[in-house]
Amino acid sequence: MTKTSQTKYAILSVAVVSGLLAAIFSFAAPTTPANAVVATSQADESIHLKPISADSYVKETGNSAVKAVFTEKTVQLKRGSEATLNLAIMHIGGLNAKPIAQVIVSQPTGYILLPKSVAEKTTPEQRLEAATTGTVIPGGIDMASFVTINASDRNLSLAANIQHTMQVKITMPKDLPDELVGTGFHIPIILTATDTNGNPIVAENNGIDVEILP
Amino acid sequence: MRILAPVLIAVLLAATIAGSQAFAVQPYVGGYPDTTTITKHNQYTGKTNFSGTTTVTPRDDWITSVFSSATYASSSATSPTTWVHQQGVTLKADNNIRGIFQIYHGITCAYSPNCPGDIGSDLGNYGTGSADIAYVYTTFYTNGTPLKTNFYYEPHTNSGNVVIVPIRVYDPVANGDPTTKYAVGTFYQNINVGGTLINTKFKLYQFAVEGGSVGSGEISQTWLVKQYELTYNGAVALSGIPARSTAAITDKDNGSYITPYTKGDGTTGRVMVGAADYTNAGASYNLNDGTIPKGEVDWKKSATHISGGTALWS
Repeated sequence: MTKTSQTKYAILSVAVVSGLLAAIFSFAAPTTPANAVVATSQADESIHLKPISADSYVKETGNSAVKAVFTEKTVQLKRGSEATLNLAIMHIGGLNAKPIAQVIVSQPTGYILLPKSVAEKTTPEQRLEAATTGTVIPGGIDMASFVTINASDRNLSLAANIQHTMQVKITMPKDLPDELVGTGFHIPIILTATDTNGNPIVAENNGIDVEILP
Repeated sequence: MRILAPVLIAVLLAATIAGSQAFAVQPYVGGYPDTTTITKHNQYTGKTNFSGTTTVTPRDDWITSVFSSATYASSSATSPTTWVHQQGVTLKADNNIRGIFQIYHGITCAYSPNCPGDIGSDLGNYGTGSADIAYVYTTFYTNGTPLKTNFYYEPHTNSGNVVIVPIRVYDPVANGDPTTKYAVGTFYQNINVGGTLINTKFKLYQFAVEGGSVGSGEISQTWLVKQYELTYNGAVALSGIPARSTAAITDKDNGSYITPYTKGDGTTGRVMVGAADYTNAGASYNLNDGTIPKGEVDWKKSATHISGGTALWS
């Protein structure tokens, strides 16, 4: 490349960058509601309780995140039956993605289901005490017992932007109380992830709604 | 140069896109117990119900029931620590409900698993058949030796089933956070803002709604967030203290200022919760609807915006 063409290329690059920046800023700048009170100097002093998702985190940071997504949102089961569901574990990676995410998929240990009649006999303080001590309130059901994960799927090593689809078995015991028939509850699947150096990676767990059929 | 220019473009592009997220305005509307008697204590409780909210779209939009408290280092401390603890229940665009929390030191996110922001605990889904969540009971409290801060979320389904969700624990000591007590109440303090002393009213505890949306800073769908059975100090009903709204968040009297803090240059600034008012947030509360008990506010999208300093109950 000659010096002249290098210069032209540099000018062209600056122009392209400037154009891109202008376009992006005009797109990204928020539209201030007509009667909103927004003062830049004061907005700098604000704090926010901000929920994030795996997708929004990667979009904002370019880093890695993993998430679990069931193919279905709801499953209907009778007592004494089971269903095998597909669960996709995704390593979403942006520009700064970790090459590998070590993912642990596990049952909802510590999640206790209280049928209505059991819940009505307890106070929030008693339930909080149970959560603190890890004791199961009589009549409470350990939700981990509903979920079976194959040993080969519990520890995964996923490259960036690779998805692993696994099967999770949801089982409703025969001895579920009658009062749960016709009702439903949500079973979360727990997800944790690290990079190969043990540093945490954002992990968005999700679950499945279960409806108990007569 | 042939290689560097595209790289430069890519780097600037990435940096700009990342930076543009800072422009997202999170609208806020809330209330606070309006008393000059400051009560230091260890625990808040409350319930959140999203019934009446239509699906929040597009994706990545959300609406959160937020409980924020300034903190004190001890029962005898005369000034707040400048730390703020926040607990929230979020309804996301996919109807998933999550329990989240964040810890701020001044205006800096000091702790959450993913500062700033929290993926949160999966509590279930809203508006989905028999597993539909009716409401979420929440509490955050300090206890133990060494002291810890605990965040607990308990979803209740419409059919009456309840799930005990593992407590999320935050370690103040490990994070240099001197917090041992929360506090309700208000106080005035002169703060130098651009060379002018502004006597600002700080509200140590605030119950509110915060939303997020790329662009407009506000969801356009119908929404309703009911906060009720609010307590402090273990189980003392907040209904016993008169409450007002914090709409008009940058107003010195009615704004969402929660604590003074020390800025990087050593001067004192004001921490406010949220970045902008909702354009059209209203509310139903005891003093405009006698069927609603004291200690409850139904925040909602409304053609009439609630004014700052509105008395919610007396």
